[in-house]
Amino acid sequence: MTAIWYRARLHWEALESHSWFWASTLGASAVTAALFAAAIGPVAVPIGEIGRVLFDEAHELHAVLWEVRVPRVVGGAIVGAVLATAGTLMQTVVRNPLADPGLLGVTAGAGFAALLAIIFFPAATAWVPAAAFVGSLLTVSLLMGLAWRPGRAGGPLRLLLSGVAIQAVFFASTAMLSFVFADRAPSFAAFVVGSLNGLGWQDVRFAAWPAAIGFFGALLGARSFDLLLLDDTSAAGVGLAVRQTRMFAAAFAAVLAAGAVSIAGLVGFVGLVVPNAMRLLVGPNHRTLLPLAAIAGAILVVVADTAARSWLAPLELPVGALLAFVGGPYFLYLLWRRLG
Amino acid sequence: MPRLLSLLVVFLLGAVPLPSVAETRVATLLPFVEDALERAAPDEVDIVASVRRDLRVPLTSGAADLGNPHAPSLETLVAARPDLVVGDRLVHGSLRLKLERSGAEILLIDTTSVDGTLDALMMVARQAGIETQMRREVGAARARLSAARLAEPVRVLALFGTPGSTFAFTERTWFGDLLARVGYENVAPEPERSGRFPGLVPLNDEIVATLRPDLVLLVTHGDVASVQASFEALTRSGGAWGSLGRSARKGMHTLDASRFASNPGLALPEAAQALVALGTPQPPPNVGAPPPLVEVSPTLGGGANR
Repeated sequence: MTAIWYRARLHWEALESHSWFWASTLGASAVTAALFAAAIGPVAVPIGEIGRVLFDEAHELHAVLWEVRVPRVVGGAIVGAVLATAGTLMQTVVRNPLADPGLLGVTAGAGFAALLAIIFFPAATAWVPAAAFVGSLLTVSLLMGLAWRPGRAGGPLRLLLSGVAIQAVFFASTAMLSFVFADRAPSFAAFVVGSLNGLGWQDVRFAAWPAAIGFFGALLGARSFDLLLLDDTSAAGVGLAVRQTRMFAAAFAAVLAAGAVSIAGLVGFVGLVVPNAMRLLVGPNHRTLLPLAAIAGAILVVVADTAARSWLAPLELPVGALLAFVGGPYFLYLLWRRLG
Repeated sequence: MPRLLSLLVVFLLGAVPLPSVAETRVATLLPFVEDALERAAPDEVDIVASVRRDLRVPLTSGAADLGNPHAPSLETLVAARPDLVVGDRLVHGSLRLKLERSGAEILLIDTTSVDGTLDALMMVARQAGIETQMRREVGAARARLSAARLAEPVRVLALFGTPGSTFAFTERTWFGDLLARVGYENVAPEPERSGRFPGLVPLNDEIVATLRPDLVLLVTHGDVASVQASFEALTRSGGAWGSLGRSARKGMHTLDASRFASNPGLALPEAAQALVALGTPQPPPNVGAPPPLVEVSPTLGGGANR
């Protein structure tokens, strides 16, 4: 019995060491999660009926599935994938597993811009995602301007500290505006905790472009990003333009995070938890890590959102808050492991 | 021909029902609209979806449960296939685009005044095809509202919130407007500009110390007992709130949340009568308000502020 168990364990460990094993496992899990997410909710759709309901416009549940739930699942998958990818890049850029997309102030900048749009253009709710997106990009531009010093060392510390400072300023500005204009900011509360409630095809289309650009850009630079994990001197020694590569990685992370924040608000912890978990499974090679982290991030957000809208249905929990329940303890675990 | 005639006779006698006009399927994000439609024409409007009055208590009316009025379940709304969705202009304005995905007509109404509320109910009724029935109800409500009147003005401070985060109602809210209509004189300061919450003005200790109401009313969504106890402790601790307690010779009352925490719609006259009862010298018991929050004792009431 012990021998059989030992053999099985050996086989399992051999399987685990192959990235294709994780790729196929995660792929199958993603399809399963998407199916269950489409079936579960305040209005139940039998899982075997999903195809028929989707393609039969006369079906009474067609509108629920096609107009509300499927865009939400697709949008959630995009949000999870891009946040996990952005988190992976950020952890590489600052060479620190505790980094996440919010670290550079990207999400804080997006939140501030979204709040400005909500306060000063309350009738133009459709423009809030665009404002958040622009806010993210402006924040990154500001960050690059502050962190980039031609002819001087541009290590991760400068980038990190500049990001933390920018983040603090934007959070403070957001808090003050929320206080002064609380009458116009109720819809901002959902943005702050992160929510996929009401996501439509328009939002999906909006987030898909930055997601595609950021993701494929990151994949193209994967080899260089592997070298960023070395110290700067060693990386430069093998011919890598360290500062430029670091800035490109940060820019791709920002574009990705901007797309996610613009449609889902400040969804936290995906970018922290998923890259670390996947790095433990498949190692630090970005060509493998980036796509698998994206799939795992998509699964995590889709599953969390399904729980968020089903647990107390028809009441909805903010998915960001639910994810923090998972992310918080994991963050503490990481700290405990690193700091003892 | 005789057969045709006999059919006509039977038809005219009502033995053959007339083909019924399709009922308007209404989803409402405002409980008082549901109440008003049920009251005006219970058999002529189909209320297919509504929100909870208490987040912890599911709907029992048979309509689809949309949950939180501030964040209704979009899936449930779409599944209910309403023809008309009724919401509040201020509360649900930012949700309009999402609500439109239900395919229904969206009607966002103004509920910040008594007249506005009753006019809005007429507007809803017009859309739902029960204008005549609603006109009758609204007319009766207006008549009873006109009859609810204090004998003499009473200075009132109407508070919303909890100790530590307190706002006063102004006449730009349905409740402040109702107080003014029944003859209360609102001592709440007028906001200098559009405040944090429309129609509500924030209070702090320095402002409270300047107010001299005869009656203090408290509206809260929270745990009434704990809020009562907190205000009682605050009033007894002296300072600004102590002077408010001494000034309020008609007492401090916490109001029935089911009637006052949100707009009661066609039940506005009952709310008005309850307010009149609180402001008259000998308020009869059980008029819609629970026992006084703070009975002003001789020691509290004997201060120099009166």
